[in-house]
Amino acid sequence: MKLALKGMRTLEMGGVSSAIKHSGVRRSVLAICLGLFIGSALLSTIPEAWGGGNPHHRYNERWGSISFAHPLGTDMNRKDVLTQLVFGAQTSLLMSTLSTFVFLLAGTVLGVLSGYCSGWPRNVVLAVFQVLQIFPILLLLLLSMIFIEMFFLGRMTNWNLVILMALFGVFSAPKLAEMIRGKILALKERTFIEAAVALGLSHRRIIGKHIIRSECLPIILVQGAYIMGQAIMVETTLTFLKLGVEYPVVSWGLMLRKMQDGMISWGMVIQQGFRYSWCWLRQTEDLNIIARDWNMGLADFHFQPLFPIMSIAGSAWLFLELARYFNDRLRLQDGRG
Amino acid sequence: MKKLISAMAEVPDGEMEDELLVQVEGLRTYISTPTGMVRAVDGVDLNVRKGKVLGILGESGSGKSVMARSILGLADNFPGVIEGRILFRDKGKVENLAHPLEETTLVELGSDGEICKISKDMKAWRKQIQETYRGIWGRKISMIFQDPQKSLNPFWTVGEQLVETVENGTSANMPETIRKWQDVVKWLKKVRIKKADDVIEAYPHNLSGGMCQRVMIAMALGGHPSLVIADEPTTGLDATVQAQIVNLLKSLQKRYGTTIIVISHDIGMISRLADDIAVMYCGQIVEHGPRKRMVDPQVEQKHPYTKALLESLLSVNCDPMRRMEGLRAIEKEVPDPKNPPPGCRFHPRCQVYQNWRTQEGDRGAGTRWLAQCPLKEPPLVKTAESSGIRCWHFYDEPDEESSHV
Amino acid sequence: MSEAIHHDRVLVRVEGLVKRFPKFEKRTVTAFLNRKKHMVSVLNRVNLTIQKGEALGLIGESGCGKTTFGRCILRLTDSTEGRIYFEGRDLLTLKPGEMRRMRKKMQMIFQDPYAALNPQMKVREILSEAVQVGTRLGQPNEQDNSRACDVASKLLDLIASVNLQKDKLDQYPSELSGGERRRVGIARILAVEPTFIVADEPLASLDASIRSQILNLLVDLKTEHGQTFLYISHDIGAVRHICDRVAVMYLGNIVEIASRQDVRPERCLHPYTARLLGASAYLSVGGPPLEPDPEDDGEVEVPEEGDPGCSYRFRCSRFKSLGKPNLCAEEKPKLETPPTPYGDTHRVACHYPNDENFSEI
Repeated sequence: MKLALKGMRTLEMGGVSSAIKHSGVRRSVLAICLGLFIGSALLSTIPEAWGGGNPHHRYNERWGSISFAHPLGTDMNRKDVLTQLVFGAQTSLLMSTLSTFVFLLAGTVLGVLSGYCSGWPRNVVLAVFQVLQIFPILLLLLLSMIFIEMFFLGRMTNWNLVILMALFGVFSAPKLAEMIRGKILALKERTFIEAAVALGLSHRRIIGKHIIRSECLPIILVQGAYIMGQAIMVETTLTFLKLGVEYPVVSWGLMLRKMQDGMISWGMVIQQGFRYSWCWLRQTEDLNIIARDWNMGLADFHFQPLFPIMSIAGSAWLFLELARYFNDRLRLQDGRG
Repeated sequence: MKKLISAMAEVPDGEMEDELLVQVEGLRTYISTPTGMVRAVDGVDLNVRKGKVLGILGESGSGKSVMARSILGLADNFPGVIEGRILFRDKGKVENLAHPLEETTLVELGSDGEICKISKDMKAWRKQIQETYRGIWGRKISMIFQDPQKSLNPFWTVGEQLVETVENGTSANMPETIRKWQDVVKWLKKVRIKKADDVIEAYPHNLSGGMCQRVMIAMALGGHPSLVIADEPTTGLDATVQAQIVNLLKSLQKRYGTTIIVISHDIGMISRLADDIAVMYCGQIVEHGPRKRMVDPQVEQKHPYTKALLESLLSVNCDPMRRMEGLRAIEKEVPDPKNPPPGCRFHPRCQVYQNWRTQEGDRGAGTRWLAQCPLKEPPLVKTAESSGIRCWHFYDEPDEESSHV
Repeated sequence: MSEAIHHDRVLVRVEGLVKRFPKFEKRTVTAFLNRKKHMVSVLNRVNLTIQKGEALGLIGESGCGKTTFGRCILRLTDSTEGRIYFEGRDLLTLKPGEMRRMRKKMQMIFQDPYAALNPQMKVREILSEAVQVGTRLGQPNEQDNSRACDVASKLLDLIASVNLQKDKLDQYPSELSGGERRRVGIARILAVEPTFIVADEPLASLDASIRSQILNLLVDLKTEHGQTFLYISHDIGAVRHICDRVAVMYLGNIVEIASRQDVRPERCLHPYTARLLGASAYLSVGGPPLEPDPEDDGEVEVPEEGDPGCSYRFRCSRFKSLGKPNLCAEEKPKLETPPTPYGDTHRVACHYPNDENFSEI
């Protein structure tokens, strides 16, 4: 018998199926990553965990390079960059958590109401949603800042940022509300909801238990994760634009503002990369020497702004993996997987 | 390495080899799922007489749909068809439709005779299947699917779909396209659709279930095939519409002499339509024979499963005064196809076996072999009264035991 | 024999139930503005009475409105007109809270067993939710005084009463077979202890062997627990097995109501009933052969909205054989008791019901 051996798939009858093994390993890796992330996020809020730290302590060196004492160097005011980064992370996380909370609450409540109720108030609310979604959120925040200053507070207190982040949550809520509304409209017709009504369950229980728990939870998680990342960016932006906190509160936006003169673009990063290789060839390690050598006017080159960006990207990735994990689990429960 | 050979059922009495259109021998189709291997078709032998209707009766999970798809070369899952021959006799030529198995599949047996390893080259298998069935699909063998509204293409109108498959004897001196459309109208009238012009321009979702099924029948029979496989053609339709479809199929079959294999779980429908009936349970044929003998309540020698099916049906349809006795239900559920019971697959639910087991003293006729029920699978044998039955209760030691090995 | 209707034992009484759906096929603005005029009456003045402890069967083709009727009785869909009396109280006058308490007494077995269960809840959660609702709605103040162990023991009772194994409690609906899902649905209904059950095609999509088991279960519920049933189906054999009376529905009208013994091709009065029973007998083993009616094949004509005559006349071969009498086209027949030897409770809506040589298929 001639058998084409190329491309054969073989099946051993019996034995553990690979799919189940595979998902088990993946889940434990995910659990470990999640633990690490949460742990580090919590630790970052406790300065003592980082060996104490005062973001405003001036050290000896301006623009110190990377060393053990200063893992990210020091900035132009002789302050340690890493400590500033950690304290800034506190601010960012706090603000973005507030924002996400407001977003989820407003979005879910409004979504459920607009999905369940009928009548003209619902149409008005939906129209308002549509209008809100047209404008860029940052623009809306700036406009609302003007109104707040005019009517409520004086200029420039630290509470501005709190209000603005809450408003950011509110302005982003329509998107979530519309998604939830869509899901509710789809679910309302499903037979098991009808069966729950026939059983005599009150509407409150039907919404809470069946609708939100079953279909809306993945949406809420994914949108919440996305908004958290966005909120961090928005907080940084607002502080950079002098609409947020000021010294002595530490924030990434303030760091960026200080670094304005030293901002670089990706193109410069690539060029610096070339320089790295050149200096390796030239058997030299001091980047600043190289910079001066070539005299490109970037004597104050610093890698520092890259680090927050990379950490944000990393945390966003982790959040999305988490959301995907939940989605997978729910899909398996559904039996549709 | 040796091929597994199962006991073959003999050809029914009085039939000669050249009157068979399709002969399936030892077909095995397995499906690999994450939780185990499903033995969808596990050693099936079938003989389909030319010009007659064969009905395959079985509940869901018995493997009848998978078997139909295996015959048609549509069992695309891994490992799919792993063993067997499908002999198709058409115009004097005999073709084994499962011949790609020789070059692409390798089945190894363990020491106990059970399959322990299956190797298959899926890419080469699919390619060879395409080559084998190219001239067969639609022309020589066609299929009528269940759920007609979902089986028609929802993006095309009915007319556009029919135009590809039907051909009729309209005169050839017209342009090709006009001739084709006239064929379509003629076929729609043949399946008794009155407003053919409206239906041609309709989409499947505009039509009712009965109309879609008629359209599918027109599509299937339009190419004048030798064999039509109908997979649950009337499930989900109303009783009146079902009766009309059954009548339609019967009349078309008589008119064109097409061979039909009907697959269903509806005994009533099969008893109207089929000339021969085969009963499937858990991937195997447990009984087959001519229709008259299978559904006749007087005949005693029936497989316990067939008997129980008939009883659960008859008592629903007939006398309302029998309500007090309760229906004779078959206990428990259909077994998991990944893990069929050892020995005879029906024995946990078999009334005969359970009675024999609880009453130890009964050693009457036919109980000699009942001890084998949980141990060994009974072979499909021909007995004096039936053309093929797979049951230890009716097992007779054949005279020439080793004739088929 | 035929059973008289005792007025003091009536559980459900439906009067003049009408349900209309809007129908506009052309998506233009004028069609949208005129949509109130283009309505389809799915239920057309239906009157029905169900007594306590009886099982009434409702048969008809798909699309005739029997499922809608069952759902309107339970107020899962709101009817356009008409009154529904349950235990003497008009359901349409109840406030939402009272209606919810009333729901405990009337339950529905849904057609699709999988869709009726929340796929993300385990069977245990589904049933304990039902048990808690049942206890809560049974208390006057809707307090939930049940303890966890009460609920757990009740769960085991429920599972045993529908013949399911205990290990099914910890599985998801997607892991159960069709018959098991159906049984979980029935267990859920029994948890609230209803008096009236609407069974919408309870045997559809089940294997033949499982069908008998479920049917036996339903018969036990009726005979041992005295449940009242409205059994909606198009499987006439099962209906005749379990039901005391059978109503036949065509296009939103009830055309015949008869007792079990009278639902046979040779004893029914309405031509549509004869056609249904003939088709169903043809599709069973050992039934008579069927003469195909060339007129009835394919699509049938449906009367327009507001047509004053009998809606069946386009398919009625009796109409044709009598030479198309004007009475059928002008006046809609009412459901009344014709003079028959069958007794007083056999009612039919036809102008020309009785005929000795009646052979209509």
